[in-house]
Amino acid sequence: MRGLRRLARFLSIRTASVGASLVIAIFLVIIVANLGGKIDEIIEQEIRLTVNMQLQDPRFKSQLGYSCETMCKGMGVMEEGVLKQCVAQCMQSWVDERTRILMRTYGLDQPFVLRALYYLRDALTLSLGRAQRIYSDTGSREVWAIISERLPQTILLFTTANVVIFFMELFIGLALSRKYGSIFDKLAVTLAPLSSMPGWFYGLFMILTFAFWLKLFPSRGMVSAPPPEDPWLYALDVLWHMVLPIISWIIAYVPIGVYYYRTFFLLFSTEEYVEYAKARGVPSRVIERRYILRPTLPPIITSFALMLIGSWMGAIITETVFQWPGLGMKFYEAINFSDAPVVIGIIAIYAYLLAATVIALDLVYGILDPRVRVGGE
Amino acid sequence: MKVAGIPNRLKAQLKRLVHYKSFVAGMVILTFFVGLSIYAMVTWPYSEAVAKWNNPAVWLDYPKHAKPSWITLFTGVRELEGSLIIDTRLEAKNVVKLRQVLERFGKPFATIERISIGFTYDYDAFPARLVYVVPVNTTDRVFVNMTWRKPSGIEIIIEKNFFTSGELIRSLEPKPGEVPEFALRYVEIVEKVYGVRVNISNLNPTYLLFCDDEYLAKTGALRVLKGSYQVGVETFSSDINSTVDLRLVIQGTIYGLAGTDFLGRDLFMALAWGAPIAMAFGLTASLLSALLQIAIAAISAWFSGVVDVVVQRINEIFMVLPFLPTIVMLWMFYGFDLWTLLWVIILFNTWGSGIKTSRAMFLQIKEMPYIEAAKAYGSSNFRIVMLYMIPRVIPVIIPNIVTAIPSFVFLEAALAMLGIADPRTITWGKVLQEAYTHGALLQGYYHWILAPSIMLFLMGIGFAMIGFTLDRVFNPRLREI
Repeated sequence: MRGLRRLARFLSIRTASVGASLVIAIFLVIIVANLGGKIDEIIEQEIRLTVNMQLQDPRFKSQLGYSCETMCKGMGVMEEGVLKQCVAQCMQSWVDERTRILMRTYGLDQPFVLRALYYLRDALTLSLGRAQRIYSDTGSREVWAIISERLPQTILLFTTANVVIFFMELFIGLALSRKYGSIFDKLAVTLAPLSSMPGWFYGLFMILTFAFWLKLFPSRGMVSAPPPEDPWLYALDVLWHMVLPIISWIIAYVPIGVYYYRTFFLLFSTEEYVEYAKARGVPSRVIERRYILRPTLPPIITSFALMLIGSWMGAIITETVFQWPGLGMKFYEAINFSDAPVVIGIIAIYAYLLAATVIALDLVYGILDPRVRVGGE
Repeated sequence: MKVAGIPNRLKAQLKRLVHYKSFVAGMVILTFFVGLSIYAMVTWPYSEAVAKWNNPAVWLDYPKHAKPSWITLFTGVRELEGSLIIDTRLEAKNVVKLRQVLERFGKPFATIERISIGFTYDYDAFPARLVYVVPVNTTDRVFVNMTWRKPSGIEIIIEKNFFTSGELIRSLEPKPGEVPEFALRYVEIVEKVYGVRVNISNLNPTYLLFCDDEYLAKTGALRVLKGSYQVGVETFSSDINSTVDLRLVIQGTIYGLAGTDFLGRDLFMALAWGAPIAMAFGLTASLLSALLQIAIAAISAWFSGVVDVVVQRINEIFMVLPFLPTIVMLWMFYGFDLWTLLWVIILFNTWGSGIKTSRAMFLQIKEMPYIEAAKAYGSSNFRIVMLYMIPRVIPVIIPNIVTAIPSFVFLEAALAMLGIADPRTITWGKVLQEAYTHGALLQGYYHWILAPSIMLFLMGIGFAMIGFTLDRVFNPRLREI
């Protein structure tokens, strides 16, 4: 009970601290983005567009022209040329007035700091506004719609890849630590430098070999065109498309992980309490589970979580290479069309994800680490 | 005694390094890159290289998408390397020029010019494309009649046209759904001679000019006809002072050590110049961010209190900021060149989880007796941090710095893949991105994608091998087992 309360206190402090960091981080992004006046520019552009759209409507234009003419005539202007000039002036002043009003509605006439605060509120509540140039697949221009329809695909591919990679690393590492100095162990050490290259890079080779040369797997996309109708076949099809990206990530990230875990477990297996357990005749499986895996769990989970967040960001290029219709590819599109609202929206989403992971890690640590639970020093 | 001891220990450790095969292999790769860098810097000074690489006009006559030339060693097929250029303005060998001024009622009113050039083509493979230019120094209308005579004796009229712009330029390359006029004439000639109507749709028109007609008529397939070719140009102009020339560019299918890209640029130049840029970029980023990281972590751990809290808060902010999207945003709003990008990357890389780990390390070091002793005899804070704490972690960070070098090179490549690159510099990542976006994978220009990939791969493997071995020698955690 006391432990639980302590944990809750610890967590709430951490949440508050990470939350504050999140707010500051997003605020900094907004300030930096707006130092070049970019966000203001975006909004001003949008306002001018709206006003011009209104003028494009012929009925509205003739109405405005008529009322302007009446006003000019009322002022006593009768001569043809002067009247024309007067009407044009009147219409221009309408445009200016309208823009000014809209600018005020959007808060553009307010000082820089205040404006930044408005944007901060929008970003934090994830009311991300509208994209400038790109659309969602359903045709919406809401940044939120664009992001939310792509997020599941990204999470599907990269969470699967990470879970596969994580368990491979863990079990191969554990198996190798049992056989220190064997051929397999030496092989693992030799292969470790393979991980100096990122997953997307191996993706290029994978596409070259398995898609274009051997024609075993598709080179791009998430489903075949046309997609199979049967849901089971559909799932199989998606799985088939996931093979190459996952393999390229395995080649890129498993070797270093295996090397790391092997060394890690080896270090732990030389601890005195493990030696003592061995001397007592405790079966090696039990030693592994109770004396090696258990105490090493917190750092292992940390590395898994960090890998997971890292993957969502590294995903941007892998998705582009494999044309996987996830958030990363949309991000690529947004860059190419230089669509700032989408880019800022994606930053906000990622910032939330990162903050959530940091807090989740603290929670895991709080549960697993007795120092936090019972309050050591 | 102690002063002499350290270099000796270092020497012994370095000696031990040589026994590791992976270290030797890594050093060989590193030496290769250093050699390549020196070669690049000696051959083309940086500004010259950048200007040349970014000027498409320089590369006009080079074959596009040419494979590396050493590939013929494996295939055994003789192919044309580079381009065969015949310019009547520059050479007179195998060139016959005739000029005739026509007169009517004793007054000159027109000129007829005839140029004939000959060349031998004895390669097994077709040239990739043929470009011909007929420059005339007049703005009047010029009638041109151009014939192509094959070794088999068949003569095709390839040009029968008026032109006025002072220059006639044709580039014979396959265009989907488009058959050039001369190809139709060629089909007729083949039908007349061999009695077979051949199907030439979707063929590279250049191939038609170099193919064996008899073989084509019999089998419907293409084969190169080796031998001497004759190209004739006949122009008729009403400007009596006009002179005509002919420039023929036969673009081959192989070029140099690495082939060429879609603009005909020599990929070897990009590969060579990519090496020093990648090494400078990776080394600077890796070294500076590691040094800044340990400096900040040491200060934070040593001073604790307010300093520590501030550092940790700043660090948390950077941990929450997504690295790649933020860099992309900065680039979109401000745009920067390669070296500004370097500083941005260093900034973002210094902060983050790395400082957390280093700080934990320094918290342990801080409690060690020798630091206690230093405090006791009254060393300054600066002295303790800079001379006693930071050197302590140097053996741990040196391998990390070496191993991290390629990761920055790949980061640059990844950003280039996203289109975030300095438009003027030459990096492997940019070559890779261009190959990827121009469909090198789809169209089978594998050399274009493989050349920068292999360079990146070698650099990754090389530095990783050195780094891993350094780690094993400097930090022998497992030696006692």
